[in-house]
Amino acid sequence: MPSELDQASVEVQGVNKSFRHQLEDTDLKVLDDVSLSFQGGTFTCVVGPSGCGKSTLLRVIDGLIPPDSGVVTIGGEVIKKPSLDRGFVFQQFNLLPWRTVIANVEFGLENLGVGKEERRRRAKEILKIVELEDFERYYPGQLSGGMQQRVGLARALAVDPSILLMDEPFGSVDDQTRMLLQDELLGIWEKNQKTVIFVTHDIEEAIYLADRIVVMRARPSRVTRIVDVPFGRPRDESIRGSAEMGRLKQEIWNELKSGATVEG
Amino acid sequence: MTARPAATDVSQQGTLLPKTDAAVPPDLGRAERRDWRALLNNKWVLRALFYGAIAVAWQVTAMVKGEFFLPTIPATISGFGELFTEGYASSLLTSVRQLVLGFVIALAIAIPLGALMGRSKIANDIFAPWVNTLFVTPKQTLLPILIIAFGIGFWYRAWVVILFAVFFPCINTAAGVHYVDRELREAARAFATGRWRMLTRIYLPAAAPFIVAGIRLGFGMAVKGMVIAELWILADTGALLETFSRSPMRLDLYYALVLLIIGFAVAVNELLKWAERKLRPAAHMAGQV
Amino acid sequence: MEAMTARIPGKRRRRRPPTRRVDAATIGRWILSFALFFALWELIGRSDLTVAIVPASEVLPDLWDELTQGDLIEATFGTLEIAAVGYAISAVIGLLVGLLIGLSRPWADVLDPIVSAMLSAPIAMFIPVIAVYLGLEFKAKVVGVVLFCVFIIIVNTQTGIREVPQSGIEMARAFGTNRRRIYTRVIFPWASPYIITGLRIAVGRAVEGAILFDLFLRAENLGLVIRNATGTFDLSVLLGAVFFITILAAGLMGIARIIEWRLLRWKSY
Repeated sequence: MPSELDQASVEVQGVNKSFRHQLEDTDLKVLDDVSLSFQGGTFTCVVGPSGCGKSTLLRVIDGLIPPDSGVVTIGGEVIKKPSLDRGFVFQQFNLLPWRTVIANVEFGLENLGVGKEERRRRAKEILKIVELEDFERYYPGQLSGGMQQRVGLARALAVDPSILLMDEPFGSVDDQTRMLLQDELLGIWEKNQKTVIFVTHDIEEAIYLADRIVVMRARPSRVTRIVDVPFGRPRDESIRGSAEMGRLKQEIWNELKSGATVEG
Repeated sequence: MTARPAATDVSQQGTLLPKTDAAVPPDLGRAERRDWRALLNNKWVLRALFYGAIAVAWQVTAMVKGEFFLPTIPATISGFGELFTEGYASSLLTSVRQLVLGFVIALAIAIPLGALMGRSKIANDIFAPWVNTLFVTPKQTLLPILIIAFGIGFWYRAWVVILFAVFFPCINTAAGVHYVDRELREAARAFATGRWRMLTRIYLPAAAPFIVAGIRLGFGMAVKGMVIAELWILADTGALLETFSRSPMRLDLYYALVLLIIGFAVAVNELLKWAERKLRPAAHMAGQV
Repeated sequence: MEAMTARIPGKRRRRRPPTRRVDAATIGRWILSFALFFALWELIGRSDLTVAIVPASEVLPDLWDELTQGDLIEATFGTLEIAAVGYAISAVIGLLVGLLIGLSRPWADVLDPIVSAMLSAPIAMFIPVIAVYLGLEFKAKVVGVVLFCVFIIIVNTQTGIREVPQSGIEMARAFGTNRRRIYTRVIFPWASPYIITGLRIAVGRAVEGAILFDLFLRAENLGLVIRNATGTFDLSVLLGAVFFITILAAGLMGIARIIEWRLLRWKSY
């Protein structure tokens, strides 16, 4: 009987994806024979330059975009389309502006067919976890960027997925908010360790958050290296300025740079 | 109360700047169609099929029902010819001339007024109630008054055109001028930009697409006014009803005329739309878009 | 998308940040503006400037008489009936066609030229054609009103649907929303501001159209009032009717705007 963590393990095998460039009538190869595996319960960050396909990879894993070839399996089952076993957090928040905060959080629950009272109850619980319980009846337009993203996170958590996919979720907020959100995310994650695949371009963020880091390159878009993060859990803020962090950053940065210049 | 802007493709008090024509319907994740069906995706093929079918239906109906119901396509085309040879052309040209003249006068009133309303809250407070109220008034009700005041000469038509055409340019200009990015204005002021330069280098380029949009919509209204002005003269004298009830109408001429007017209106419209598109980069640089 | 709240002359509105404030000074100017209007009207009426204008002091009492004793109210209802029926039909057709065009690329390609042309074309010139095929009575007028209104609704609906951001749909798909729900819970709400605006504008067009056809086809209702006044050269009644229609139209549009504002309150955030 596979354990719960195995159910949450992700296997990406030989995935290729090209997009047809509308105006120039050429094919852009966005993912080139990418193979990865993510163990259940781990926090993985994917770093890479823009155009390396990391966002596309995330969407292929979620089932939003079908790969041209190759396969994604989760817990042994092949993924064909999106499902609520996986929660997605978007860079631009993607909240529905005409719904209140709590109604936004309930969005995924509606699709699960959860009854009205149960939905409300769960949504309130989640909002407490992201510390937005006082803002239930507000509209997204009244909230700051950081708060809106917490709603996005709450929405994804509300459906209790086994896998959390996050696409540069803190890319649209300012530095200070970002650091606070990172700590919050870690706090939430450490209580209930889902499998997280977190895409970012911020190396320090990746090191701070992840168990291991997948480094990708562009043109051709593939994985160049996987780095294990040596820090223990729970993560301490003091890591941020440490020499070890600095060294790792440099290492990964070098990897990224060389990846970017090889193709030329 | 602010005079509200008219959008371009979404006319009358809608959004601010026009969206590009490249807007695409939402993609629900359906698979892409290749193969021969891609041909069906070509817009000209589709149009040819659709309008071809309509043309065929028209012709067949015309032939079956006779010329007093619907003129055949060849008859309509020869109707065009007749319009020009039988001297209708000169009266059409006169109408167009009066239309243009009235329109220019309307612009001369509307745009400065709009600019003033956009810049000055006081001016806006005073004029906006009038503008907005008259805007929603059915202007055809004013026609009888105009005839009594001006007879059926040039000024009657000119005033009708002015009344119809003046609102969009005014409201749009006001909005265009009003919404010029505040930060841009501040930056310009910090560099001690003189009044004249502010007007020509900042406000005008920023507001230009709005103004042109207003002109475009205003022109449509001017044509409408012209048509209604002419129709009213016919209606008032009872000649209109006579034509319907007694003598059979020269439908071929009439259809030709209608198509001509539509063609004219559409041509000017497209021309002005093109001008708008050209002006948008300038607006973009002026911080507007 | 810019805000679309209503501004009614003389009424105080709750203030909205990006647009102009309505404060005491503004209201004072509105009152001044209207006072000026009536003053001008009176002056021009009394002067020899033009025979066409009769002073307000004569017109308004006459108008009151017409309203209370004459059949002006009945005429108004007659015209409004035509407008209402035409509007209802336009709304249904407009929404359906707008949805079709908004969602389907091929249909948009095919129908855009017609819709675009009909928007720039003066509908009034179709009056003879309407008269020939449909007569001069109620049916013809309703069809005329439909022609007046339907294209605005179509275009607004279409744009509303086009404006739905792809990211919103992506989000809905990521959260397992089935196709029907994507339409009802994402596309439709997101398009609703435009759609509602289109419906609001169409109210004004419907009234305009109804009056137009009541004037040019068989003169009836308000059209008859105007025709009679013109015929008997009774300028007082004529001006009174025009004034009344103006207030009516402004009032109806004002109501429409309030409804729109109520429905779209979330947009102000």
